[in-house]
Amino acid sequence: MNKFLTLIKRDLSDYKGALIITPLVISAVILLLVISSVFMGSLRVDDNNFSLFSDSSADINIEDNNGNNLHLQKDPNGHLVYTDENGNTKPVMGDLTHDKIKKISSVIALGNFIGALLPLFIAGIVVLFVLAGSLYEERKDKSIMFWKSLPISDIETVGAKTVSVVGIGLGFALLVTFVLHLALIVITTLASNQFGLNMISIPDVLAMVFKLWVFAAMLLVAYILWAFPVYSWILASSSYAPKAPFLLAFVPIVLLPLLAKIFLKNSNDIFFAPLQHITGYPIWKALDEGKEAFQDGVKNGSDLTPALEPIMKTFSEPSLWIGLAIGVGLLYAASEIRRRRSF
Amino acid sequence: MDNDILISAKGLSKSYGAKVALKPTNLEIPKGRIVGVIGANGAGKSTLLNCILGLSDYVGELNVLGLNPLQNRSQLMNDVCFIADIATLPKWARISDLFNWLEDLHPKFQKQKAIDKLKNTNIPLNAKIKELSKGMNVQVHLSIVLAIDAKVLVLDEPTLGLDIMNRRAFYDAVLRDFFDEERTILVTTHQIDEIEPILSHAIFIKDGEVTLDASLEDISEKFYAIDVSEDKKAEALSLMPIYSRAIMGRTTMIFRDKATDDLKKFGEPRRVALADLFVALATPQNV
Repeated sequence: MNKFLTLIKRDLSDYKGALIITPLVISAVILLLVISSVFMGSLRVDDNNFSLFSDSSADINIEDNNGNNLHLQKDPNGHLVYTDENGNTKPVMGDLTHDKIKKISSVIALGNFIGALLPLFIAGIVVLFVLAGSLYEERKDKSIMFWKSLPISDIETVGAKTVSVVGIGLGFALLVTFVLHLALIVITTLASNQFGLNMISIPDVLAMVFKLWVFAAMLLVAYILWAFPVYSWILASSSYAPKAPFLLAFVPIVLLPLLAKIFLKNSNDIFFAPLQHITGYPIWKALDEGKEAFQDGVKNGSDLTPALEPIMKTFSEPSLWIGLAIGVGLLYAASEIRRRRSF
Repeated sequence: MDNDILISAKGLSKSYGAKVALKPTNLEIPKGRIVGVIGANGAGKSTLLNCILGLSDYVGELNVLGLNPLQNRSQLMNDVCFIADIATLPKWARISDLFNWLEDLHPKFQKQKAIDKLKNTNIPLNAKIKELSKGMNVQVHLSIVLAIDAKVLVLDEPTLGLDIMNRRAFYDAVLRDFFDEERTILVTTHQIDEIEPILSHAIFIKDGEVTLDASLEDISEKFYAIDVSEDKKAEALSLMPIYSRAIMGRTTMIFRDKATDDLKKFGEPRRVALADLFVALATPQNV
């Protein structure tokens, strides 16, 4: 076990740039953009003066739904209020009930989460490139001869690469997504308070954050299981390819349904299966089925588990298990190709 | 199998498509030997070593330390170390990381020993492999190999591209820190003269075929070289030397399985240098 963990450590050191640095950089860029937009939104320019996060009232006149003029300003407590044409001062957010605050908090948690998913999506693509290069690059730079001079079997090597690239690579990106999510929520909360929009309940936001994280983690596990045969295929291609392993892996996946349609006049699902597995089509389909349950859960700040049910149901689909069996076979093939090929 | 035999091959051969890289070969290499595998480029030396290391599939029987190398490579590598003719250490890694991983990956690797070996060089432990010169790369690899308590060390042109100082230091370190009567070293090199003094056994390979497999002792008893004067040349040729070379008015002939008394008529028989013997056996009969 210690040996396997060390192999994972080694692989993570090799793919540090792609698997660790990339999600961190993407998150940093997102944070930078969000923080700058908050600063830009807080910048006030009055004649020759400008200031940030000014406490003074802004001289803003807008119209309400009835076309009446409203004058916006902050009250002494820092809340954003408006003065109607009759001179009455009222809070912009109105008298928010706890239910409304809970709903707003949940929606804010979801909105920020969608923004924070970018590192995970990018990692999903990066992982494909890293896998395609993993068993090819070691042949290209000849380091395979060093690794093969150690008491490490080929199946251990291939297994460790699968776990480190797919499991840890995507797992780390998910963690980064969680941290980015929290950071975005903190910025949203501070910014909305700064603008006088006190509409967020921290406990309600955190409750929804946790539910969203569990939901996302379950989705990721389901996606990895569905995509597993394609990951294994990419590794086998990487182990075999004399050059351009990414092309060798993906040209058949993309061309297969196309050629079947042109030459066999057949658009059977079987030809689309690899493409569907790697794009997570069964998961998207299941997500669509659970859409209403998800929306209700977010609106009411309640449990999201019902939305997961259609995804759990995909675990009983034969195509998932057939795919997993093929995936195991392809991993073995990747290891056998690595074991048998000459240098 | 004899316990002293570490490597044995029967009918071992390897082809790449239609090209035969190694013709059926029989070998037995006992422990406590330093074996030089000598041949021209593309003769099949690396193919033989790769088969022994389980890095290449093959036809025939091959037994290394009682194991089938192709089926049991990872197990075999507990007792076999290998330095290739090219830089194979992962360029992206730091030496310190490499040592740490090896401590977990190789049960017979002693990290402190490797660090101590490295301290004898001017290579910092936290350097990245890609920052090292070819010579430094070999030194790091050597410090790793010498820190592993192995039974067989395979060196495939390990000093290729190194200067004479580094080449000599390399072999000195191998002899001093690795070799003993329980261990065997297999080495291929083009610099035959440099390793000849340390060899106890030589295997010549030509066009995938083993042309000589003998101990240095046997070679020195079997082959003799004589500088023959012009007036005795015709008579000496009648004894069928395996090789004759005339240079600057002097003809050197190499004889196989001839009584020294018969040869003494033409000059003082002397031991044949391995490089000369290799050329003699590799050159089509020109006498």
